[in-house]
Amino acid sequence: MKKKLSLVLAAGMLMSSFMFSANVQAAETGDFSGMTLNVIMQDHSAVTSVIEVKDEFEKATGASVNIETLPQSEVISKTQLTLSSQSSDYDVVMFDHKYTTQFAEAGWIVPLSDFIDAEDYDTSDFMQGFVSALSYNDKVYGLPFYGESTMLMYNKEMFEAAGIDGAPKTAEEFWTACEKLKEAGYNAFACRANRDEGQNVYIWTGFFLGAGADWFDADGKLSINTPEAVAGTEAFINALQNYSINGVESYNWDNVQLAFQQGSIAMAIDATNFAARLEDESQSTVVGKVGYSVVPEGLSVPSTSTWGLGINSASKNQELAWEFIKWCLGEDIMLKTSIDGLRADVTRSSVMNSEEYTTKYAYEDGNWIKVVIDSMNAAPADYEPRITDWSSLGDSVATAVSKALDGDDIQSSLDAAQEESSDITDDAYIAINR
Amino acid sequence: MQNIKNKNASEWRRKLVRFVTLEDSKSWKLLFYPGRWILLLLTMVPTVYALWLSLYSYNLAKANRREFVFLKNFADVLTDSRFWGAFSVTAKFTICSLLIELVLGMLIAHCLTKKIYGKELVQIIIILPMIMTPVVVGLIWKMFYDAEFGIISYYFQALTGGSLNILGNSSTSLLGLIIVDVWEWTPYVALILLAGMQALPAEPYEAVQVDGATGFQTFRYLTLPLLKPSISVAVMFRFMDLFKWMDTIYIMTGGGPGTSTETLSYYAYMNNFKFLEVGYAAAMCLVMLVVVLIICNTIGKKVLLKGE
Repeated sequence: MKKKLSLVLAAGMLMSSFMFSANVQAAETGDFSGMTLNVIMQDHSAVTSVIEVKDEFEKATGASVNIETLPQSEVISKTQLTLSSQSSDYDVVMFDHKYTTQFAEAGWIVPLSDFIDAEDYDTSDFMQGFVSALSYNDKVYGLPFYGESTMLMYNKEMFEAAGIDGAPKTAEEFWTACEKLKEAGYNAFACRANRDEGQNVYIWTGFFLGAGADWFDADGKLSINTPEAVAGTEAFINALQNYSINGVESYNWDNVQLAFQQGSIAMAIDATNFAARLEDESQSTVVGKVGYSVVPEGLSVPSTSTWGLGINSASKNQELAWEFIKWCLGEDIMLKTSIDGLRADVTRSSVMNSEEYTTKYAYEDGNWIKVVIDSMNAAPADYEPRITDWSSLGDSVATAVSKALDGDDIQSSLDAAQEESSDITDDAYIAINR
Repeated sequence: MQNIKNKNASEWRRKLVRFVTLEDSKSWKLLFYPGRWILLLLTMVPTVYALWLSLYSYNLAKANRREFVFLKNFADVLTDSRFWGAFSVTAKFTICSLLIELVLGMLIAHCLTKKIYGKELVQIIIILPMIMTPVVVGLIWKMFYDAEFGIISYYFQALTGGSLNILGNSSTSLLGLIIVDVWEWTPYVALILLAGMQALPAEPYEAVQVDGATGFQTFRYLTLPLLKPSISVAVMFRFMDLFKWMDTIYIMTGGGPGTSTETLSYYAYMNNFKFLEVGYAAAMCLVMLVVVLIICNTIGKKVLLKGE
């Protein structure tokens, strides 16, 4: 029944988009006039820069666009609730790639592949890792709005004062640097460490994978309490307990960013797009003093994280929604917003390689862009597993890591998380990732 | 025939008019209808729905998402160690805050019954924390507490040389939240008690004065017993609020570090809105409802009715 329904739906969409493509010219002169498109997006500097130019889209289509923004954790909850109640409150939703499976499997969002195929829309310019992170069962469900990885950022002045020569490339060099910085009286390292959604787990996963652990074992069983996992967690906690700033336990990403901007910490591992805010005169005291490097080998691995735009399957304005997504992710707008605003996390290769972009984001004499590309290439696609139960697994792990950071035994904390999530089935992982 | 019909009709109309204008002896019933229906819609319907939900294993994100499991959710709740952890956090938090608020509230109320210069102004100022949005309260206190940039840590460091990390440490994070709640809600308790104190009769006080009672004796053997109804009202309201408190926690600690500030409401919220386990969350909320009912009934029966 469900299949039939989706076939009918798909056919309907195909037809309507054919009709639409014949009518593109008309669309631009106000085919959608009087219609209202509701969009829910994450509160993010990349989104802000798009909101500023949304009247261009409104002028071209005649439709009006409401963009509602909420912080990371809230936007996920609200989107889940809206989608699960089949409400058409939002036509376009922005979601973390980790939710692709949950949303697609529940039929909450429509496969964009139907729209893409219908008009031969070219997606090859998008960084393919992001597109596949937003795909499920060979269908694209979202197109990447922003994408990032993690990198090591360090304060060159402090490094010089502590007598360290360049960025630490290996785990060993990292710990030596920590020790030297501590001796010189600096807070050596900080990263997000509280247990909120998308906080400590995001960075911890790098240490976890860096120590050779993996979310699932060869049989597809959850394996978050292995000796490797403990070693990774130990490294994460060692860095935060012994070399970090006071109060780091309750830090989320913006605390880390602020501490770095204020010159209170010497090193941070966090999102690649931090650079734009660290190099902004109006909010940072460390402009021009920041060095960028791929996360130290053997200590951590770079992350994959992307937020994509998808269409609510209960939406009544799906064509308009697709137009909006195309406009929003088009080369012109992406380039324009990244030049006018702060958008160091574009998802199109053509934009990232364009002269305007490389000129504007030439942090550390162009080294930053090089590091971003290297990090993205080295990042595993399943940095955090895209499974339906991600929110409860993520929370179990976040709680365990937070407890361990607070002084609880690492092994028993991870055991508890493993136990709590033991009902997460193996086939979920195999089906999606293997 | 026609006449009788007319007569009946006019009689009926007269009755209706009397009923609607509340002149009829039975028309008081009319006044209850709106309230009754609103109450039914707003409280009974959701409660019954929650009861129905709690019998299902119901995850919003799963394809075959609803399955009848009868009382399994309740059994799971009662054997869930995280639930009992949250229960103990809630109990600690509720009892500590309640006691501190009562003592401080009593002191403030006592001061406000005296003739002090600028009393009216004080009465206005102390209710300010109460009218602030809990989220704003959380944000402000989070800034105060911030280990690196916060004002409290700043003065602590200036005075003692040590560093302070209230919210980042599981041994002090709950204390940090208790302080916030005491700051926000002590004025409320004080106002209830003040109203009670001002309504106390003057004669007994004159009598004990003649008998030569000390200030403490007057308070212990006269004011306190007479104030019992006001105290139990304050306790009951504060208890219900404290038991379901989560908005400020959500902003300030998110239940962390670990689970050291995860209250029952917060855990129920996580289950419902994060993990989308609607059935399980409903069962948990019903368990909480039963606990609240038992405790409030006990307070109500033991103290309120006996006081009369």
